[in-house]
Amino acid sequence: MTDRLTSTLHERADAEQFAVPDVEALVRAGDRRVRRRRTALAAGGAALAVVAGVALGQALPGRGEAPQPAPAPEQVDIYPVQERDLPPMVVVGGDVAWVDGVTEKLRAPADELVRTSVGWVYASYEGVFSRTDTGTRRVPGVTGDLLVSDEDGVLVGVYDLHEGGAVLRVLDQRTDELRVVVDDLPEESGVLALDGDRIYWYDTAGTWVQDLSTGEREPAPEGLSSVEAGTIVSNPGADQGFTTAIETRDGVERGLEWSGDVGALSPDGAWYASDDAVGFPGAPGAVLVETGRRVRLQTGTERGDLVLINGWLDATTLQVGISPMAEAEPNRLLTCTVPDGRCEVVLADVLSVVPGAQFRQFVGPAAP
Amino acid sequence: MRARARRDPADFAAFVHARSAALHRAAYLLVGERGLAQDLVQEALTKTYVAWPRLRDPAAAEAYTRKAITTTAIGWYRRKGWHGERPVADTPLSAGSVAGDHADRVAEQDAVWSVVQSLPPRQRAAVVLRYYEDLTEAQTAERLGCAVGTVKSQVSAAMATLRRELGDLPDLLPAPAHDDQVVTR
Repeated sequence: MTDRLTSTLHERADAEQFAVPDVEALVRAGDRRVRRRRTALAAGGAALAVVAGVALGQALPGRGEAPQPAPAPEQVDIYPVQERDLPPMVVVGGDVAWVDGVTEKLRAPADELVRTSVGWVYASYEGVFSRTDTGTRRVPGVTGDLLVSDEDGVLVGVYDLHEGGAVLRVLDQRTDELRVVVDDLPEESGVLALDGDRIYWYDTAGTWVQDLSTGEREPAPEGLSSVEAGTIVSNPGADQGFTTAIETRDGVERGLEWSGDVGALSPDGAWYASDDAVGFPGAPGAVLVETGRRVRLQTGTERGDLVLINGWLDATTLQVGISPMAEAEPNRLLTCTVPDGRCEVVLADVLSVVPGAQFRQFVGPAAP
Repeated sequence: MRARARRDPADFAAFVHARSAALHRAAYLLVGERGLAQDLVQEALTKTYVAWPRLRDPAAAEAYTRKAITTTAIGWYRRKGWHGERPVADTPLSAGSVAGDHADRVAEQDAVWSVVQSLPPRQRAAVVLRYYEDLTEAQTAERLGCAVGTVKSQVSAAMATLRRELGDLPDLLPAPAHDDQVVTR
């Protein structure tokens, strides 16, 4: 005789009818994931570009309010490179939220989101959208398989895959101009970073940096991790040990004993922060590029907690997301400052900021 | 020159069409909500598609997907920060109930289902794998990514909760098999 537990499980399961999933949607999602992984493998910074963009705040005046008239184009410097002052922000499914409780609905749950000095751009199953003070607009004709931006500028790199190849475009978020940078990329390619008017991408032949003003391109370091204000952090590879190569804007090259293969440079390129630093095993830290001085970020995390360096809110403040190992503890959001390494919890429960948030939609600082 | 791994959408589509119903049912037992089960299966199938070139045959693909369902469900609960056991709102059975008619039988099932759903995620997963998917303790441990001893203790704790909440229902629990003696300490 079948026991009641087993029979209950079978009868409950059999009572539910499920439609066959949309295979095309699964394939699209899988292909997107493969491309992301490929990009991350090609250069550790690629994943960061996405994650940091998702989690970083955007100082939109009047956020959550009615859109304001567009500023005159000449009021905005197209290539500012070293300044930002952003509040912490997270994305929870189809909402963006700030730590003061203000939220804003997106057109659809974001797969990727990057921000600029004038707003943010996100990719979703409904398409790619650009949000500025003048409102939200669909970016026509693109899928946004990968997005990169310079948080201090107005440009967004939009990488689209199509059958047998890919196209890299740049969107000027201030004017909505969308122009092609490279239109004949192979399928095995990707965009890595955008810094001022220089965009970094790779293909089967190597990693490249292209000047958006002149169109000139030249080889760039392999294993790109972060680029800010002309300073480049790259990880040459496992055979090089725990060494991160740093090339400053004035051409000085340094090798630092620093493991962080996923990290972020501060807006002026002075600091590099990562989630796993040599000297602080398993703990996040920051290094002063000029001297190699290390600072441990006092996040209060324990072994097994997931720590994500989301990016820099200003010249000395980082946004850090924590997903605790302990099941009962909620995800929290911190800000940490250098050089003191002090951290402050700014959101004790990330999901609490969006009423009715579904945890499975969470794509904020602790995105898988 | 090494050929790049290929993903054949047609093969994957055939697998999805053939096995998605069974996968959904298992997912539903793990999470207890239709929508959540659908999301869970979609996520697991996406992972399967990514891994498709190295799975090679449908049996391997199904095993991979089922493992992805289990680990993803537990990961979701962890990220959400759910607290262990959820309260059982009501246990609609007395110890002396007899499944003599349809109403009693439905009430019994509701009670059992309610308690199963109240179990902490890992205990619930262990119960579903052992008593729905009929896996051995070793197979359950492999699926959950833990030691066999952990499976024993998770199942034991789950059984204790079921007994505590449901009383002495006859034939409530399966008779211990040779490889699944309930741990009593």
